[in-house]
Amino acid sequence: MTMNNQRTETGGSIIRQRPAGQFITAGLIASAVLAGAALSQAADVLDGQTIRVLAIGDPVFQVMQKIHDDMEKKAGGKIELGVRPFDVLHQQVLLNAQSPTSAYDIIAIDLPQFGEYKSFLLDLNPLIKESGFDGADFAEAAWTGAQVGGKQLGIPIQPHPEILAYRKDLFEEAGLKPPETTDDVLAAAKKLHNSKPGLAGIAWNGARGTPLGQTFIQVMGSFGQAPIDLPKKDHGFSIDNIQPQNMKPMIDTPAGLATAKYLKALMDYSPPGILDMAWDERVRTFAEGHAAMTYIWSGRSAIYELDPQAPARGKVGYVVHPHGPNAAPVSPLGGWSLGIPSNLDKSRIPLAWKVIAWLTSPEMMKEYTKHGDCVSPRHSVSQDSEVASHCPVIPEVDTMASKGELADWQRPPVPELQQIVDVLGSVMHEMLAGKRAPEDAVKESQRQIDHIMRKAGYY
Amino acid sequence: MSWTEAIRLFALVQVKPETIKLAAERRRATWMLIGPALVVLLALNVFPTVYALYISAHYWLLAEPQPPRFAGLSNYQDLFSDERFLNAVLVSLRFVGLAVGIELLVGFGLAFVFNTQMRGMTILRKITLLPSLVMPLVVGLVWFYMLNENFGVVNWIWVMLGGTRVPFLTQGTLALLSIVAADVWQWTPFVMLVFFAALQALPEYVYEAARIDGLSGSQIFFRVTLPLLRPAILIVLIIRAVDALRSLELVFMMTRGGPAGDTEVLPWYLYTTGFMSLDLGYAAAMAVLMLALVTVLSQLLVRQLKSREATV
Repeated sequence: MTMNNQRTETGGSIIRQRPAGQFITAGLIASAVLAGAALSQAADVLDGQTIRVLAIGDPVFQVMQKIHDDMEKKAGGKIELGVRPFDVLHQQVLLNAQSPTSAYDIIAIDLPQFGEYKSFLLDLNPLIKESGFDGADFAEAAWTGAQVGGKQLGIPIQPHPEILAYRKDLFEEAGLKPPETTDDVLAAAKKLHNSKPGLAGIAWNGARGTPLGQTFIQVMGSFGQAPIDLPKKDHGFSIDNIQPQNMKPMIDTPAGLATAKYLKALMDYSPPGILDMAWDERVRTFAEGHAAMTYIWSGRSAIYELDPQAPARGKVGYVVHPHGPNAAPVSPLGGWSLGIPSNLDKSRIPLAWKVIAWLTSPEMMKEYTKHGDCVSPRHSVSQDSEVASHCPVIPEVDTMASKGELADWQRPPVPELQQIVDVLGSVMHEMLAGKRAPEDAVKESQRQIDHIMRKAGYY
Repeated sequence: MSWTEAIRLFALVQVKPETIKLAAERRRATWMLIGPALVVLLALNVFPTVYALYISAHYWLLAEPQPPRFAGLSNYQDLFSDERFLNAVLVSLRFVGLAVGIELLVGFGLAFVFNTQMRGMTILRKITLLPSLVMPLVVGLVWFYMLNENFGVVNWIWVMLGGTRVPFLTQGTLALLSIVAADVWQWTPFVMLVFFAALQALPEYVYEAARIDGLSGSQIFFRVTLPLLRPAILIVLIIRAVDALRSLELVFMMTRGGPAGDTEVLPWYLYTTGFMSLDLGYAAAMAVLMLALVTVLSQLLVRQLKSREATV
């Protein structure tokens, strides 16, 4: 099933397809022009000043930590990079918003957080217009995903989808085709599980709490259902204008039950310790050759693609999230953008913008890929042959984007999202541990989330 | 009145408290001296507690732009019907009982071993203390990787010896015991140290008298040593029980409350509610109840201690 030439007007649910050739040509030109501009800008971007960035411990910011000294030399000033865990960053951004003056010039924003943060982020449109910053080079879902109500609230720096990675060599050996559906995944996992000593069928997030809760809603998206009652739009859902009546949970639905049963079925073909497996462990298991498949945020593929010792290196194929019956192939888009807090001292805004433009320039994006961040929201960088050679996932994701297979409605930007994830991460874990039947688990999750929504006063 | 004058007056009125004027001066001086400590106490202890009570009566989701909304006692009402909360209380009590019980037994035994005059005990005692100097988060991380089913050294050795992998962190009872093991590893040295100090302080003449009275070794232990160590045992019990009841780091690093809530202690549920879901009202209600639980538990033990002191 394809969704070619479809696009959303706002919200960035689905990406417009652009012919690959056009991307390459336009991309290379844009890359050259912007790289040149970035290089000339880099030396005076800070001009002896200090910039304060509040970020997360995700690959792109870890790379910035790694090349921090070089970056400071290039920028000609000091870069104070505060890297925090997800929950701490979330709290600090919210607390910073309540201060009269922001303590940070630039903050990192996760894609589903734009709805929550919209009232205290600066609209970047005037700055974009004034500086001639070119947004056309960015993947459209990532670019429009950082918009709320027509305001551009962030510039994408590390937007990436969760996809399925599989070992091409093992699949070929077993005569299997790349999995397209959830049934394909189960069949392949069954065939490959224990086919070699220490090889599991599939690694995924089975750990309690956010890892499993997030996995549940993302896989449920592949069964064609959002976690709350969002209005339908094309082959997905719209998150443009979420109303109180859209807040009803949709867990106790055929799609929710199918998701619960699918995850339960995966347990039989999972590595030991799956109930304690989260993002780091699943990638590590796959990288070390102990799993034939894994769900993975694409940027994390650098862990094995850039490691000469990793058994999985160079043998991995990537597909969009396999879908359930009657659902479209769609991978959840997440990841980070850079924004400016609206309570930032006015005199610092030009500097903050200058640094954002530099950090998201093609030159810097390419630099990140060399040091462990296999993500590029810029088409020009994605089509760069050097980038593709060390990060094969980047052109694959670019193709998925072109086909309209990336969406961001699976994690709708509502304040209760983390509570939904927490309930699912707890109740579904009981199901995986054998304490609840799938039918009971979806009913209990529905009940608990319904209580949360009623308490919040939505209905 | 300057501080030096206040201190001088305080000393003076202690000598001659009969003068009314001086008594008033003394009261002023007293307030001046305890004032700063009182302010610190109010700011650091009383205000947060009162504020937690205030928040617990509100619906306040930090992720929502709206200000807190008065909710009366509904957060408490919800807590008493929240299976997850009740499970967390039970798991916490189970964890405290197991961990502190084992720590007391092992720490007690070790203190006796170290109290002997054997060679090398001083160095060994210093080495034994090392775990209690490590950050609990680091302890959690180290034990997580040691016991992990895929990468853990314990399973690796076990499989090398021909065994099958042990689900230390993913099987209910084993997961709780694994966390207990990590806690015991870290805090037994502290318990041992307190008992060791108490043993060293026991007067020798009591033992001499017991021996002259013809008591056997076991009789001396049960009738002399143990009763004399009772205050130390109760103090260690209070410190460790309260500390273990508030312990979060090991669960955070090792199991995140899994599998299926079997290791979800109260502080972890509170943390996820308050700092991940950002439901401050509900988390505050939970914190207030947890405070009550800790207070009741510690008061029971303190009473035991006082009743012992009264009988001595």
